[in-house]
Amino acid sequence: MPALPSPLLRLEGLSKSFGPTVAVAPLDLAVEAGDFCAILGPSGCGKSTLLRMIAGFTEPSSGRVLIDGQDVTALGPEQRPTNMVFQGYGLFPHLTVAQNVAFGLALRKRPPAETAGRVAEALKLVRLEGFDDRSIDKLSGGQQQRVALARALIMRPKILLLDEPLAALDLKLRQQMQEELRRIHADIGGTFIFVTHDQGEAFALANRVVVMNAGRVEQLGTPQEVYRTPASLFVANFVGEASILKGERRNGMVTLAAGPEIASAGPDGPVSAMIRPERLQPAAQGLAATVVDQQFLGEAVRVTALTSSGERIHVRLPDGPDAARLVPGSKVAFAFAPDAVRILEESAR
Amino acid sequence: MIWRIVIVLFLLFMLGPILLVVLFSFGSNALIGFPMGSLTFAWYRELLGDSGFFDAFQTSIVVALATAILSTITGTLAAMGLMRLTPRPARTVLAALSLPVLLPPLVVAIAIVVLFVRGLGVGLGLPVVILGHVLVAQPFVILIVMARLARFDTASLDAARDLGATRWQAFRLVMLPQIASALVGAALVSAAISLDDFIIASFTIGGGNTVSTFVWGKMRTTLDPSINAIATVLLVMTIGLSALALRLARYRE
Repeated sequence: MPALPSPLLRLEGLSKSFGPTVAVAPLDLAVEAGDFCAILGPSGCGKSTLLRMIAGFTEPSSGRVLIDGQDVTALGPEQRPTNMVFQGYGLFPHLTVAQNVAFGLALRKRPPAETAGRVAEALKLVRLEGFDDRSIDKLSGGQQQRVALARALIMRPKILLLDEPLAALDLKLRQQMQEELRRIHADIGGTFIFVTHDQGEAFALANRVVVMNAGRVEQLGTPQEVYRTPASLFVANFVGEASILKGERRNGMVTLAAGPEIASAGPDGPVSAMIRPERLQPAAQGLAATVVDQQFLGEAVRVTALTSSGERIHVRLPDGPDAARLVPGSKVAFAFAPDAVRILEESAR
Repeated sequence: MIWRIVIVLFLLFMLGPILLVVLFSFGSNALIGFPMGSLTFAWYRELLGDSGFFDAFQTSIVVALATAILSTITGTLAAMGLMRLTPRPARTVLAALSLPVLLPPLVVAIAIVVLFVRGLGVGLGLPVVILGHVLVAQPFVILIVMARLARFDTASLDAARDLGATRWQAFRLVMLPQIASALVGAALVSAAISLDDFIIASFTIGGGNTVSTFVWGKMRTTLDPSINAIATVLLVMTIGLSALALRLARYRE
């Protein structure tokens, strides 16, 4: 019998409750080898708890964690083939950079020559050659981040876990580290799972995104899928900007309260229509609205308008004469392509 | 100007007696008072020859050492436990553990005697003295260690576990080296507290003497300058220990 290709990480009915509070509702998830997977959600959505259950720090209330087909649910963090980069890094301030990086190998009593070689290799990977004997408090935030990364990667984990890896860095450094992380991921061909509340970061790094809200998985897909075809109103709003318009479906035709009609198969009843801001263009006719605000963003202009039904819509268009006309108070119509609209059932919130 | 005079007078009032004790311990005159005679180390030499003092000194060192070790262990464990609690219960438990410091030492001493001798039927002696001193020194250990732990990054413990350390290894290799100076400081403070105590020791020691009960006994019979010598030795030891503790606990990381 041919073996079924099994994912590297499989979560089966994994959940966690703290007393009466459900942090993570039972969920199933599979992450393939080589994935760079983002767990994206607002603070308190259970994403960090989920990551800590994968690492072995938090004991699940129910369900199983399987890595490479092996059930690791009962194993502590020191026994799992995962390593983690912590949000505050959790470096050892009483040790030097090299001693920090070598910590895990020293515990395993590897021969000193092998340890030294692998420390040098790991420091090279994160571009900290020559920092061996520095003390931790003499490093900048970005350098500390790299030490934490090297310290985890030297263990050659099957899965590298990162908890809000870039949250403590300023914008410039964050973009630089994003590039670095992608390069390292490509270089070592590893499997990375990271937690973030920043959708820009999730999109910039990951090839798979898990959107979480209130302890459950709202959507799982590529960044493109999550952005273009959100599975719920929550995803539509949390991931990027969206205009949400209320409507009613009758016989495969949705009539929006704001005016336009859109063909959409499905059961009759109330629905919501979601349109991304860059998919709306000013036109002679379409969705009628009154501009209430215009923001200049540099490469683009962001316009907020109110429809006749009193709903707020967001439009983003390149700076230019079109945009210049959309001053607050002006009445305009916005056109959109049929495939720009995503109809969401009212139940899918 | 007037304030300077006030401050000088105040300091003289506070420190004068202590300075006199130190001064008289080096005077050759057998009567404590002026004129104090010529400079001499005779009283210190006399102490060395006094087997009563020597026994008391040894006992004090043993009690101080045992108190330092025991209270540092129990106090550190208590501090680590308290750090895991949420603030409200932590405050309540800390207040309960600090009670022996807030109560009059006399009450603590009587309570210990009642519990151990009348209640548990354990005879008086050094173990009971040590337990009494641990009771009083432990709150200071808890406060010192908690202050250090408040600045301790618990993520580093998680990181150690993640890299393959057992709980014990994580404590020994990551936490202990970082809080070691605070622990040594706490132990020194405990030793100073133990050396300093008279009331608990005199109630619970049964037979024998610590330095402080020895001095008390001597004061009731004679009043010769060798007492000043003992006081000076005690002074140097407690101030030295406390100063060392402050240095270790605060200024070095």
